[in-house]
Amino acid sequence: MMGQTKIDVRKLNVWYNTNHAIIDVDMEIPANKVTALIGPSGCGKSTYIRCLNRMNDVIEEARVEGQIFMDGKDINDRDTDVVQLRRRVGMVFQKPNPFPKSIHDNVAYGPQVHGEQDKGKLNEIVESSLKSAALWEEVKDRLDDSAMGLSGGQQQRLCIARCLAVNPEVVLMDEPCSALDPIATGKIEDLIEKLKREYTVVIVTHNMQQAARVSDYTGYFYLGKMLEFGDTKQIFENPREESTENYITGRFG
Amino acid sequence: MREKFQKQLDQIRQDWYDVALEVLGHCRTAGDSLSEPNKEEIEELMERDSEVLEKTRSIQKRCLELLALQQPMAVDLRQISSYLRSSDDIERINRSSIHIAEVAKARLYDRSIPEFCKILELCGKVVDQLQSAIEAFNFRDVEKAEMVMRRDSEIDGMHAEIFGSLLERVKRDDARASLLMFVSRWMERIGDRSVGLASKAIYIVEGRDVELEAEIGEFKVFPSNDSAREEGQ
Repeated sequence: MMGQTKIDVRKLNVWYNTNHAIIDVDMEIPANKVTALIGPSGCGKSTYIRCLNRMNDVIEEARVEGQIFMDGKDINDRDTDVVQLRRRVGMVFQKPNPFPKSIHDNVAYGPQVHGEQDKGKLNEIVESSLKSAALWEEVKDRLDDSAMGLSGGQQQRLCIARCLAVNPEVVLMDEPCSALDPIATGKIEDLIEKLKREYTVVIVTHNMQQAARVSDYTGYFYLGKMLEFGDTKQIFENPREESTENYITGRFG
Repeated sequence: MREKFQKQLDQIRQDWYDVALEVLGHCRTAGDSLSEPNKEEIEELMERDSEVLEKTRSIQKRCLELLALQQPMAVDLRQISSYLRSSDDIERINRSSIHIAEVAKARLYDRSIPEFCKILELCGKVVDQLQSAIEAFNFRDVEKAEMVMRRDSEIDGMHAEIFGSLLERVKRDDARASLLMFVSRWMERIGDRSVGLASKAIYIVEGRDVELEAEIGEFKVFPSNDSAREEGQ
């Protein structure tokens, strides 16, 4: 029903010490689509997307079990190059977190770390990434200014450009608009729509309308389990599970 | 906010049920007037036309407000969109009832022909059908709604028979049969609108949209399935 699968998650479990945060989650994330994850605070959706680029590795008390196949290979295998994995699976966070550097250097940093030294090439990457993130027109005349001087919405698009600069395959977004005003939010949402042509996008959001607007598929998480996954239209018009219904209609949560 | 929303929704539900029952009464009055026209009742029914219109428009306006301000989802969305559309059904049913009452008032038809008795029978069935549909919608009764949908073919069949037989009279220059053709048609339309209400009850409860299936094949002017006669002309 969904076309090609980009990431195939099987029986994923995560513990923080004794806290069982993710319980037996199976999910096929379709390629070149936007998948939204919704659910009340603490339901495990952020923990879940952090598994997709092994961000939980850096949390000492976290333990991950299960398989996550990306293009057929389990990313939790010992021989996985985690730096390469995070290049392929980029992430944008809730609060814009640009480096205290120039706009240009924020975007050029990733490709440099991955070995690109040619100045002309770097400039090209900076320009194309900023264009993809719909920020180029606003900053092209002040690339050497500090990124900290940008507005919140611009900073978030800069972070998206920084993520795109290393040519990822998957873009994870954890509440990317919750610190932004409606106009900046609209720009990011338009951008998400464009991004899916080239990337697979997974977005965590508390904003039901945003999930409904931007995503093709929606997964509903509750108490660490994924209770429902399906076509976004179906989830928001006629969810199968009562718990999903109660959550999206605001009867609890 | 949730409480306020629920209160507004409850009020819409109550107002819808009130106006639906009122229109059910109009439909019954219209049918009864065909054999025994009660001038006062008919006039009252006509006077209330604008009132029904105002009530249904008020429901629609409040539904649109809730859609715009609350962005309802799932069952809330299904309920509100159904109230929005079904209040239109109610308004159209009232309009058809008024037309029938107008014919009854003018009395330009022949009560001695056998088709007239059949029309009275049809009216009785349609009133029952409408009542069941209103109850199914208001009480979210899927079983009753499915019964309404099943019974529609009976009403369609009766209408087809009455219409065909009256058409023969019209062909023989019996002009007084023509108004009864309209009456039969309006009653059948009320039957269709009842099916619309019933299908929305199912949509609210189960999210299944059965209305389209129910309405396919409803667009014929000559409802008779005896096409041979039409070809023979």
